[in-house]
Amino acid sequence: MSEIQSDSQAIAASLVDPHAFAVIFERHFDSIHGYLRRRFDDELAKDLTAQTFFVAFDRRSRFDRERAESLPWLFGIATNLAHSHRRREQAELRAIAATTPELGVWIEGVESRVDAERMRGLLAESLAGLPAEEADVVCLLVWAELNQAEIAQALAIPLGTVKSRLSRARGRLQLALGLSSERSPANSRSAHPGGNRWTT
Amino acid sequence: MDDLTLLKSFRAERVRTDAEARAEIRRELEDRFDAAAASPSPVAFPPRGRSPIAPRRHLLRRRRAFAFGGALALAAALAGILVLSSGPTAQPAAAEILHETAQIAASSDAPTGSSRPGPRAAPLHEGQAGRAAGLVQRL
Repeated sequence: MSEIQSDSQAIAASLVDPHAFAVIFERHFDSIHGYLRRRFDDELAKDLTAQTFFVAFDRRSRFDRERAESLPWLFGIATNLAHSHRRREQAELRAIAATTPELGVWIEGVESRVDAERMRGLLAESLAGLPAEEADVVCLLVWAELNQAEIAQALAIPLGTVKSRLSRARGRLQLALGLSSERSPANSRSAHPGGNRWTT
Repeated sequence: MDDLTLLKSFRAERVRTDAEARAEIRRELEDRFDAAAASPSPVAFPPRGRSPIAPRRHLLRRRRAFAFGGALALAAALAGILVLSSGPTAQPAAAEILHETAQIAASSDAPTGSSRPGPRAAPLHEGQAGRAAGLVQRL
């Protein structure tokens, strides 16, 4: 098993020996579980993580072995499973919004972490208000750290659809957060060193 | 700070390794591995693009088509029998009987006198009467 280098090779090996799929689980459990924990409560996140790997295992023969990485595929499965729990996610986000302190706690000049805390309630409310398809794209971009092409692959939708959903979602978020709708690519890149993820 | 940067830090504290959840899911997955290893490969790895229940659906559809076709053929045969055995074939038979009856009546002797108005029936010979009765019964 130590000879296996890529996800694609591990999945191919698992078609002969199902236990070879354990490599995929060990490599990607934390990413999938972390992504789902950001969207749901602990219990549901655990259930959906388990289902993601069960579904992936059952459908491993359909995995496109031309792709070396299986993570976008796994995130796609996880997001499709999460899609049917959107109401629960919204309820949790609205509960966060309701319990977040008022904007009066804003401390000027402190790092962006405090800024984020100040905006937490607004952000939760804004996320809850997004249509499920747009929320999926935003979550995959920011929390799963997929680029737009990988999101298109994960959700099996055209790249243009990803771009338009992302654009609409960001417009809604910025409006709700009271942020300027003007975005320059330079600003985006400076904010995200890993950055071409936001544009391509 | 833009919306995506804000979003990146949102609920970031929830991302942490959960060894207990990992172990539990791993155990369940191992059970699946064992089950898949024990089952014959066609069940474990269904052909791409077709679900395992698809062949059964296909057979069911074919069976339904055969049943429908059979019922249709039977109904058509019954309708044909009914159409052919009624109306047009019965009429010539009735006409024939009436014609024979008329011939028998015409070939009988002259009518006996009767004071009653209207059609007068001629007395028939014994053979003629029997034959006429048979024809009436056939009608």
